[in-house]
Amino acid sequence: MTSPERIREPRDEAALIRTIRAEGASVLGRRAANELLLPYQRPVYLWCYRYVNNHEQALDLAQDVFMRALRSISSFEGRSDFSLWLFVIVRNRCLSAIRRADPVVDAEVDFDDVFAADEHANPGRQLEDDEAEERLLALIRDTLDPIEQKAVWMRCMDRMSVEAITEILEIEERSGARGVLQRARRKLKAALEARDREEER
Amino acid sequence: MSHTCREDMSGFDQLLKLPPGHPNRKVVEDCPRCGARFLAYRKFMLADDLSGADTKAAQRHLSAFIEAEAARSLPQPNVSKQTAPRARFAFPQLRWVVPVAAVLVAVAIGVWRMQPGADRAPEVRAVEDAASIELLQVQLMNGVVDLTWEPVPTAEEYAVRLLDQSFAEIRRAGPVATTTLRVDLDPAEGVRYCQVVALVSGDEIAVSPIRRLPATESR
Ligand SMILES: [Zn+2]
Repeated sequence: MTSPERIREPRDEAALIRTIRAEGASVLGRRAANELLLPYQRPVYLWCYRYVNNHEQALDLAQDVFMRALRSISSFEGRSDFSLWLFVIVRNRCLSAIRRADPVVDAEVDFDDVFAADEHANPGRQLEDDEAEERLLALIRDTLDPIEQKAVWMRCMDRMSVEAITEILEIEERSGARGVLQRARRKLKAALEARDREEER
Repeated sequence: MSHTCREDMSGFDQLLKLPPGHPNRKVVEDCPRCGARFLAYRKFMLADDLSGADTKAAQRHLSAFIEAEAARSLPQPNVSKQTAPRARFAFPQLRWVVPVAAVLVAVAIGVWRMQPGADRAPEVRAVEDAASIELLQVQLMNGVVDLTWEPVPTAEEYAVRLLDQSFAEIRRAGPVATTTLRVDLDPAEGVRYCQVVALVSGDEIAVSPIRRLPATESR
């Protein structure tokens, strides 16, 4: 973690949300909504950009996020920070967008062929399956070091690009997340082969 | 320290306020699933520049969008104070039904909230459950836009909102009972975006994302 934690300057977001809930689409309500969302334009857009790597597509996604936020904001009860609530929306929107798009497999850093041998842990095949998720979790915990574990999770479950994983995990080695994922592939392959040999005996 | 995964990311906001290396934070960061999500949330908050991204242009665009969308998406204020004539209640003797039903629904929601597990990211789920229409196709050819979308089970009919470059509504096309609509555009109108809305008795029950028109020929 090289960069310092930079959390938004304290603002009374709860008061802005109260105003929005009370005033709705009136001038006051709209003003409060603008003020609340203004500092989030940049993070939301950048998060979308990480997924689609294209300015216009990132804007379309960001628009959708803000539209959903505005439509649901009157039901937001403040049990979490607004930023986390909004992050969950943007994360989910990006994931569904990327799942709808045609998958581009990068054989160096993707795991479909590795997990094909272990269909219960295959996140590509059984994405919604909690059991598959747990088995994947157990497998990578047993086999990989902490950075590799998170990189594999981000690649397989969160469908992130190699560049985004490098950036989020702040990987400093020259090959970035690509090197980490390649190493993880080798380790997982070896572990699954060893397990198969064990089972055959 | 033992760790139970937090499927819904609850508490991540508070963890982010702890200093790096704090044991409560570390145990979450060390979990592949929670750590991946927590560090992603951290990066979201840091909002560092990305090469290729144009944040200045994005902020101009999104400011205009939010300004226009707030007027459409936020609930209309103080409906009871509106001066427009209101529909007369068809059965005055049943006036009490609506408030009583509202109270019952509120109580039911309260009881549901008290169920164990019901508290699992309810705020976020509310957003995900918010009805949304998936656009299957938006095609512009010779000044005619063809739209196709996924049906919304409870919708009676659909309309298409046509918006200008500052996201203001120029007009609506429809309503139609089908899930496809062809709209003739007049280049002088300046339509730049469109959105499908699903209706029941004229009330909006779901909307699609706002989609920019795919070609420049109509501009
Ligand atoms: Zn966990």
